Amino acid sequence: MINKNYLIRVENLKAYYFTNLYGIKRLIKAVDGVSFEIHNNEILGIAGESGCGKTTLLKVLLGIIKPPLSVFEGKVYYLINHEEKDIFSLSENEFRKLRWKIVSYIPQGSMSVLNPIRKIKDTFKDFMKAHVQEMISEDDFENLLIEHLESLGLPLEVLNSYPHQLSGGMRQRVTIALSTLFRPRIIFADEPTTALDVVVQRGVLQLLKRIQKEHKNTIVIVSHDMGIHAHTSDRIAIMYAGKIIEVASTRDIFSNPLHPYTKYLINSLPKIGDKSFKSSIPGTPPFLANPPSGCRFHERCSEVMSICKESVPELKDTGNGHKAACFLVEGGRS
Amino acid sequence: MKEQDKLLFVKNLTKIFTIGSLLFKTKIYAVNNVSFEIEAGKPEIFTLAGESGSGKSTLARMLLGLIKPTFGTIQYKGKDISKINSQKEWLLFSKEVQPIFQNPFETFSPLNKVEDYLYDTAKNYNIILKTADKSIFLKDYLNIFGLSYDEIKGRYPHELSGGQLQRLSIARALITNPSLLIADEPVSMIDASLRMSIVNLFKELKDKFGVNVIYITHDLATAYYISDRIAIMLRGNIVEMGPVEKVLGSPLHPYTKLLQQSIPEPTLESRWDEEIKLSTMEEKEFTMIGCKFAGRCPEVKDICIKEEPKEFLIDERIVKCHLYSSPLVKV
Repeated sequence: MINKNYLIRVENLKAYYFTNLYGIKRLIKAVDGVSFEIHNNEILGIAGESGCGKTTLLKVLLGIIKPPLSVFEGKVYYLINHEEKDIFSLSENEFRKLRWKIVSYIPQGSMSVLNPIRKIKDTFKDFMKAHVQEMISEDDFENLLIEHLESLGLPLEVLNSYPHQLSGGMRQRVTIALSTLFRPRIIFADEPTTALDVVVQRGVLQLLKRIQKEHKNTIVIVSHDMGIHAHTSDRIAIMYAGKIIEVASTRDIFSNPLHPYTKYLINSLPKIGDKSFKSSIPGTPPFLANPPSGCRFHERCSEVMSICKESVPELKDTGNGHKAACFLVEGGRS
Repeated sequence: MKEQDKLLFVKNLTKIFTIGSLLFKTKIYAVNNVSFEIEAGKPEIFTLAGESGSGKSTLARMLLGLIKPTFGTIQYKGKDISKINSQKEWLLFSKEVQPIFQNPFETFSPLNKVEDYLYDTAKNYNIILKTADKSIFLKDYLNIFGLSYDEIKGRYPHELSGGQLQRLSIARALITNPSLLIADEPVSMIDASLRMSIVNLFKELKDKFGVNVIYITHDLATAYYISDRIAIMLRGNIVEMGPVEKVLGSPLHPYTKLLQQSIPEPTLESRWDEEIKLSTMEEKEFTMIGCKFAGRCPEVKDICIKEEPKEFLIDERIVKCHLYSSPLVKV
């Protein structure tokens, strides 16, 4: 019997970039053997540094698989109306029907989503025409828009503005409004606040949280900033070099991090009121065309053992859904 | 203390940009009446913090002599930098004050090897002879910063990580042995796991080499970690300035309070609960007559909309807010 409390199930996913430049063939293992579930009614945070594969993972989950990216192994299932669907078997046209209504996406740079020479209102209409087959009358659509913006607490003047007239934070909130118009079951947000200031960032995250509470849907937030996850996510998955190395509730991740990398990530951040010395993680993240053997973190790990260099630790449940991929957790040398 | 004893002396600095067409001109005070100073012989890290559009980068560019202020003076070691007019004087000034930019991938030319960039800087500023041996110079020089020459030998910028490149650009800025570094958002492009190594490098430069750093950032957590003094900027104005432990530890200005509470601290104790108000139109805030924060301030009074607040000295810091104008207010 399959547990039906999930929305998306990922099974041993391997997505690589295959490049062939001037005869030099390279295989970049951006997502390498990832399995996890995204639950109903939660905010899941995916954390990791740049180049750890978190954006690639998101692309695959959204079904945007274009060369040089290709899926080598594994499956991704969506649960739609209690029915499990393998997304790699869906045609482009079938997938198009899911986007925006069932799955939606909030990109990093809002400027590249909104058409710079059209008013926000017209951009909304353009999106409508591209995605919705059954036509809605102009008036109905405008009423729907106004109702939606009001429910999100955004000023209605934005509808008649051009993107450049809005501040970065407002543009990002308009993009959020755009992607949530049809109350999608799941929303993927890729670094939704990177270019924003702290106060605006807080406002944008506040909006996301409110949407999740009201619609009881699922939001996946990808961010490198552990501070953001501490304030918004219910569960956090930590990625390192193409693999998920720890998944747990936000409480468990912060109060009882198991993987040395997670510990580093949390402890290396400075806090107000604490001037004690903080150091970076030694070394640099590995290049994914040629990842290290065994545990991919072993070169930078302070608690490395001989087994870490030889075999790859599996993501194992330690109780309460707290999973970690580290030999230390398994009780040392097994 | 005389102005000559100061390393940097900035008084009433203002930069006005005019936008709009001939008939509808709007004046934007990108930097408005800013004054601060950095003392000589007492190396410190001074942070300019604020949101985007607060004028911190415009201020940095004026300090570097890249753009001219509309009013006000900038004196470096007692000398007005707007009066520099010979190539020789300019070279001397730029030797003393060096910039570090946000994106290390843009600092370096993608077509040149990074080692040449360091070597050429040294030659252009006559730090080494034109005939000096490259590898000997770089080996010794990079050692000071804990970088190895072998690591960068023959490499192009795209072959190095952002963290490595930013270290190199800091190393490059220090070739001329400057007294003041102006670093504009130096860690915002660096990965979380490597960020602290850059931040610690600034601290080391201050302690070991006596270099002053003006650290421009919107990241208040790292600002708290490394700086001695901080100035919080809002729409061109410094609204609160003083020792960092005071300003961020127990902020007085309502804007500083909001900023401090909005830092996403990586702990579970302080999850945000109350909702905040955001500014809708940036332009409006720039052209407001009174306090620029009046539209969003939870403690706004009538006077805030009509009159620009004065600066008050309270508890070792300068605060620009009407709340502190009456002597009856308890601090």
